[in-house]
Amino acid sequence: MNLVLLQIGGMIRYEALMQFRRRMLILIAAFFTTGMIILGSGMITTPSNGDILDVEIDGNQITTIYRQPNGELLYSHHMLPNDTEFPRWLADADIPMIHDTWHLLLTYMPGLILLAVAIPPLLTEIIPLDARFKMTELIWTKPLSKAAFLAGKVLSVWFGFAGVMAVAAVILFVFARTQFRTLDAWLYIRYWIVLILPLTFVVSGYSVLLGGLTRSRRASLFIGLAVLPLALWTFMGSAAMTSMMNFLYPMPGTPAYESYEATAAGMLMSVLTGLMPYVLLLIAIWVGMWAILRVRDA
Amino acid sequence: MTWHGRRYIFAWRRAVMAVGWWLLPIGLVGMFFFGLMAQARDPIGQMIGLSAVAAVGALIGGVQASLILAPADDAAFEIILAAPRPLAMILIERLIVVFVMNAAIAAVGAVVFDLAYPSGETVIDQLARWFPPFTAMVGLGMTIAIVSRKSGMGALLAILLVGSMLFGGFAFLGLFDWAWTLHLFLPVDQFSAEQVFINRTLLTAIGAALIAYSFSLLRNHESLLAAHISA
Repeated sequence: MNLVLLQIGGMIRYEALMQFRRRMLILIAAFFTTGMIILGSGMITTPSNGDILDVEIDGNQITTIYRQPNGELLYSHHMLPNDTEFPRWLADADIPMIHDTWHLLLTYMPGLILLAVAIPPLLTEIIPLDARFKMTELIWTKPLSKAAFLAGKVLSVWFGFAGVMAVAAVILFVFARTQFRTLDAWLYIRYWIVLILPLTFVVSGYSVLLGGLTRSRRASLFIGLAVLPLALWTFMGSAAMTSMMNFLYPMPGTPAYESYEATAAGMLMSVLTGLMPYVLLLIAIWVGMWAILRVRDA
Repeated sequence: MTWHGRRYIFAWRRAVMAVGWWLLPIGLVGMFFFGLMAQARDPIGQMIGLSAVAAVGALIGGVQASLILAPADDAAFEIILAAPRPLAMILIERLIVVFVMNAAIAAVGAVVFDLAYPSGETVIDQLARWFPPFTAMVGLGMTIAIVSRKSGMGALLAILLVGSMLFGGFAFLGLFDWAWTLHLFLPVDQFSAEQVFINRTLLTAIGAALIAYSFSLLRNHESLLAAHISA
């Protein structure tokens, strides 16, 4: 057991060095950060009515109060359909902070598509590179099990991503602070830990493992293209559907929460629940690749 | 044939294999599928609308172009450089293969799309929509693959550019006054014939310029071998 852990640790260190030299993870994180800043600059705009100040609720009538660009207050009235569960706690909440935080998290939706699309074409080459540099035969002469080999490859990418994405999170938070009045930093951190990092891990896991089906770097790009729909499907199932259902609260079928904290926690829980099938799929792919490597070696 | 003549011989079969010929039938299915979606009044199908042939064609063109030549992906690239056959021959033969196969698929795709979603557009109309973004994406895919030395980078940029123009093109048009000149899939019913002509000419010119730039990059063998990095 100790030997296996040492082997995995050694692989992680070696692969992390190789990935740093190839700049792939840095490139993906930089690509995501730049894309988010460009998207943010275009999407983060003051509503045409002005800045939202407060929300008042009277029966089924909602009154949203805006401060217009000329400084005057605007009262916008809106009647709720009878079958809609509206979060009545909004009447007592810090509306500017909630509005800005959710607006920021919503801008992550197109940004996460960029991330999900960028990972497969660039990361499926990780296992085929061993064959490209004639290392495969040498690796299999070592007392290294197939399970340890795959774990080393995948974990090296995950550790690398954890590092570069932490830097991206800090840069994007600083950018967001320049664009918004107030933000809920705790929700932002939880959003990264619960959604963005796991989504990155799952999609990069698919890419690294399925890339092992081939031995050529060129063919690995084709596998990367084949993984793209799977990556987008994972994004749709885990991030888009669950987050949107909770952010766009007046949608029918959305649970009614009793406070801002409960809404944030509910959104994060639904993201975790939404991710579970894809985590199981990743485990299935992992086991399948382990079996393929065993059969190939036999 | 003399030895000098052999230097300029074509390797068509290898070229067809290298650029991933099987992407084309998948693209054809995609064109038909988007036609069916538009006919069924699906929101995504309607958003793509008549640009389906151009979009799928440009996407596949960009991906195939990124596979034409990527120094880091080709094993023993030093030997290819040392061979008497000029490196440019690889680009020429694979470019011909990409253009000819894609033109054929776009023409068939236009017919198939019209069967699924009758719009009154002729095959010539669809080919006129397809050619400018296709050329631009081929130029982009080729250039990025050679500069970055990896086909993955060229393919990724082609996918992102086509996807963002297809689904966010309306936002791009709203952001800048000049956006119509560079929009890959300009909605022709919202712009004058002169604007559409300028847009298509500009996209074709950008694609041709990038293709020409790719050829010029082949002269710098040190850069192709990443000697400046490993030194």
